[in-house]
Amino acid sequence: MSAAAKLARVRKSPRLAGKLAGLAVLLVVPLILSSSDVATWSVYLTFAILALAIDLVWGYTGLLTLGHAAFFGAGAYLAAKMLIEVPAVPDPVVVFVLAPVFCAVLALAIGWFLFSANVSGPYFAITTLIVAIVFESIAGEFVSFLGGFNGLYNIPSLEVVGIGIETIPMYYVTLAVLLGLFLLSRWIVDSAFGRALRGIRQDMERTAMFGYNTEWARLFVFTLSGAMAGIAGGMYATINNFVSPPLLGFVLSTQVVIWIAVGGRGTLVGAVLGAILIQYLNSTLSDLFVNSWNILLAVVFIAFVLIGPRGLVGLLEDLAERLGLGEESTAAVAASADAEGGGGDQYE
Amino acid sequence: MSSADTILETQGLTKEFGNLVAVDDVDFTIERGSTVGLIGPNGAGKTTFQSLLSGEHAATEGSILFEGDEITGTDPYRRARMGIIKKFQVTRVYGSESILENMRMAMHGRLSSTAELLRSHDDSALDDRIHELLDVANLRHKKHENAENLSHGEQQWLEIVMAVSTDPKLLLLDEPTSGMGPQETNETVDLLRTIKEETETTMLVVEHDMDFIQKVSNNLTVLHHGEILAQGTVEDIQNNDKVQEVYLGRE
Repeated sequence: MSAAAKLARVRKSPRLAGKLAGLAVLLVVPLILSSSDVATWSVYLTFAILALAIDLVWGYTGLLTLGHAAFFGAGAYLAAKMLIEVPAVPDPVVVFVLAPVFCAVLALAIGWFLFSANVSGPYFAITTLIVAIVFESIAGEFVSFLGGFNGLYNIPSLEVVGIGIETIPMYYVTLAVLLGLFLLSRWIVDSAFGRALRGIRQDMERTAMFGYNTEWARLFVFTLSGAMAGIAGGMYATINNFVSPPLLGFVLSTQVVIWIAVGGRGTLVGAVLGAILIQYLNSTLSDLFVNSWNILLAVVFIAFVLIGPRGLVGLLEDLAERLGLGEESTAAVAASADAEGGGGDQYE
Repeated sequence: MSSADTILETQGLTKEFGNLVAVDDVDFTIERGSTVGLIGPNGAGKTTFQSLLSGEHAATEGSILFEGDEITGTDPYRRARMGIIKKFQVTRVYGSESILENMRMAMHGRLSSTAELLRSHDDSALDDRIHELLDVANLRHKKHENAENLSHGEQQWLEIVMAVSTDPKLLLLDEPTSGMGPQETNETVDLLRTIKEETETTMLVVEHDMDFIQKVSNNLTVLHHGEILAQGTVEDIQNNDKVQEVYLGRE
């Protein structure tokens, strides 16, 4: 595709344009902000990866997991222990291989237990919540091995062949991992397998009786999602240099679910947008509204549940449609105006 | 009892729910290529019998043989992959997906492995078959609409052609005219006849509407209190005293 054709495609698709604009913002962040702020943004990105992982399980497959921080925290603790105590193993192997493999095995074991017993719906949410609580208490109880409530600190930053990765390059490494996992997730949800996941969300029995192995499909996506959370956690440990039990807990788990709901569940980009935006607002606005910030956040969340169940992404798409951006959306507006015989303002 | 061309056979098939015996010691065979009507009054065990074949319910006793293989304890998805595909009584289409996506969902299920599903990003190869089937169901002009926007009858037809699109060996239809008026019922008869002519799929149709069933099948089995009461042609059944007593006599 030529550059001109690509440009034309971007202009016709507000969704693609929006994503590219978001990526551009993330690319210039280190050029504008101070070094300590860049490290904070790197942390935002690791949580955005966690949000992406949860969106695959919740947004696409319909399994509300309230315990995914357990995998994030497990990856973080594993990386912390290895980087502090076993320096012989190269850092990238710890963060990008051992952490995801460890979390994949955990997710596989937990997922196998849940799916073979056919735990679903609210029971799935509650059981995953309990997993997070158990993981958090384990980290809090093992004082000598895992540091107890004080956690593990002085975790070294990432080194590759003896060269330390500075704050800004580390930000770009994290962004590259986020982008790579975003594209991988996109590839999965756009495949026939992704369609089967949507089928499981809507009607699991019907989907099984078309010949899909729904137990295996759920286990696959849950395990993959656990591995993604593990990478994110491993990177978090090297960026933040400190891990503590709340990283594994249900408070973080449910927070991320709320970020996804605000961003727009089942869209991938909504998970990333919601995660980064709310974390950013959290750090800037919580200084301004010290006591009322949490209440404000709660109001925003309830507002989205009531008036915008498709989240920010849904609102932006509606806006683009109303402004007549993009070929498809223009056609859709015209079609709906036709269908309603010009009485389209009844929803205004 | 079973011949070379028997596609499905049950031996002493029994299903108990607590004290209720819903299906009672049923010996039953279906010949390949036939259309069998399974009729009986409400509560006769028709739907339960069919759900034993599809695997939704586990049999209490007895066995099910499909193409000679024992499948009594086989998972529903494996039975679907073997070629037993069911259309539910209450429509089960994917409401928030387009008709096209519904068809693609159905067509990929039975024949693809997970790796093939993951690699499959272009479904244009399926388009011809999808269009053919949507033409039969008169739904092609609505292919981009979400299934939830279709009428009740159209949703039933969509689920029927979805089931047919999987190229099933045995199609289980549970009251395909449930909730339909006379006009829609007649169109359903035409739809099933066209499908039969084109695919020669073996069908087991559960129905309580005698008028409907005799238009699609001349090979009936009557269930009553979970047991087979009579088997034969429409004429045999209509002239059967026992059947008239428990079933037709009431109408």
